Amino acid sequence: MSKIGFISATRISVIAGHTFTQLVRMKVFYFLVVFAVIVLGSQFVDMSTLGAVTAVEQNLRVMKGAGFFAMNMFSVILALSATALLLPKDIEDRTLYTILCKPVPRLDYLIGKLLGVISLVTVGLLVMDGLFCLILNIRVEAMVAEQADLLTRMGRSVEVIETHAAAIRDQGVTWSLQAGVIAVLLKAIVVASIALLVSTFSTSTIFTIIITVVVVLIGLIQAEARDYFLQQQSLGMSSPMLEMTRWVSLLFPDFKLLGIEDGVINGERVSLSLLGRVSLAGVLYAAIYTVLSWFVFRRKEL
Amino acid sequence: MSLALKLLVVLAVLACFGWLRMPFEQRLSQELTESHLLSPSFDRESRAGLSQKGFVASFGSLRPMLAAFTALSTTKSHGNSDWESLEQALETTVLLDPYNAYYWDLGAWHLAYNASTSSLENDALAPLQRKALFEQYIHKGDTLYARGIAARPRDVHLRLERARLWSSRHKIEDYPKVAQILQTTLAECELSSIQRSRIRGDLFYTLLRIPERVNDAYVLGRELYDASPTNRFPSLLNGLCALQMHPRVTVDKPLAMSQLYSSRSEALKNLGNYLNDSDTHKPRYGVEGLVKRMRSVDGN
Repeated sequence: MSKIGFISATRISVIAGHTFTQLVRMKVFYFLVVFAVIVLGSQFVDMSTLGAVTAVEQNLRVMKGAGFFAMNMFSVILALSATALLLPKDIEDRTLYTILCKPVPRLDYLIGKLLGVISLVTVGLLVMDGLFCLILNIRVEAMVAEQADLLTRMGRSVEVIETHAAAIRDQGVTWSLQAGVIAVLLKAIVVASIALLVSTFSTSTIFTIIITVVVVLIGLIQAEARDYFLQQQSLGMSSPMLEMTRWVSLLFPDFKLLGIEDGVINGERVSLSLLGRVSLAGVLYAAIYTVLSWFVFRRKEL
Repeated sequence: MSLALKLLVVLAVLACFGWLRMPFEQRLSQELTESHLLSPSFDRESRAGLSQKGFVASFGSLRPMLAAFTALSTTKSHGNSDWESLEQALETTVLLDPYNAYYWDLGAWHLAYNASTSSLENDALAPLQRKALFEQYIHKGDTLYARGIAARPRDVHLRLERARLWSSRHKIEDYPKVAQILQTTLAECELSSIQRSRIRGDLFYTLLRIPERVNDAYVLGRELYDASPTNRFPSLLNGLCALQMHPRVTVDKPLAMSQLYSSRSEALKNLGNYLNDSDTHKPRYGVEGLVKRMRSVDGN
């Protein structure tokens, strides 16, 4: 009997492709209609003037906030539910036995499944991003034209009009906006890999979803626990709270680290170096959870 | 290997991985916060104040959305003159979205202008109480401007609004403070040539109103005058004319009246307006006599 290679790109891509098709057939992309409604609706929100304080860019911030919130919600829910469903569904359909009785290492199977989900989330995010950028750009250009007209009538110089236009465009479709979308994707990838790990020892889909949601929620406040732990430790303090925050910092991922879209919504610029390091953090989290999934799953009796 | 043992190994690996990644996470988190890409973490007190919202807001991109909704709630409190609720809503808003200058501006405006005036006109309070509350709200508004500037040091608008507050004749005029704010803005912010010129102009009008700094006002006024003919607004020319006659101002080569004004009638008109201005802080030393002399010459 010939020895099977540990990881095969061909095998993984076949499993990923099959998973992607399987998920697409579940008509998951219907959520895009809801996304379109949220983004289209958000452009009618007018928060540029509250009392005497006016900032036309505020409407764009609200629109970006709604867009990113919807992207986050859909991609995370999609990643979580699709991954949580994978193993139970494959067992139920007996597909898992058909695959694993062939010379397919379990690691290839898990990576293939995860990549299938990631492909689905990526396609979904690309469509959402495209739609979002299109609507945002239309809104920005309309706003620039409106402001230019207003300032011209007020007799302002070309330089002043251009400065206003630049300030509005800074809140529009920029490279940093795409960096924010990458961060959303990273978050979904990490959620999917956690769900994959949980599903390898879980007894039901609901259990997988609940445990993953709990891990994500704790991960969202992990940074605060870490800050507290490091601060107290540097002071030489010792308390049950210190121990608790130590274990939260060690065991849970820092989801806040992947939330750079908060800054992007306010028009902050994301440098390539920072995006690279945020991506590295996301990929490292996903890699470690995938390896651990394999460790639990490799000799599991099915 | 049993499942329990496997899970123990998983936890051990996660703990080791956590120990290795902690310094990287901490450094990156600090850098992202410094570059305003991440909002600062809530401290325990803030989180307790936010209650359930704190957890919801932890989820990516929900903080700006929640901030927008809490900012909207200030409109209702404003309508009801419920300044305590308004203050609470503002605190929550700026806590949720500290890098959005709009909320600092909105909060400071509500407290320094609306809450202060409302307190001053509140008949239910004793006169001294009204005055104390009026001043208290102005200072609270100023504190919000200062916190907003600390959160967004490059934001010029917040700084100018703060300067506007302390130069408002309906509030508490404090020209030395205005001058300090404008000078800091010129020193610390990236400004376009138009913005720089405008702020320098504002600084001139401010220094003009501080008796101890009339000499600085003259130096700056001359710089603005010499820099470009487009700076020569009547207010600048009137200020320079008045300062040249001021006993505290040292002038090497004073500008002749013909350099300041294109004609005698224009000089009379502009200086007349300068004298009639209700702002008592402008230096008027010698201006009245000059106008009288010009009028008497005209009469001859």
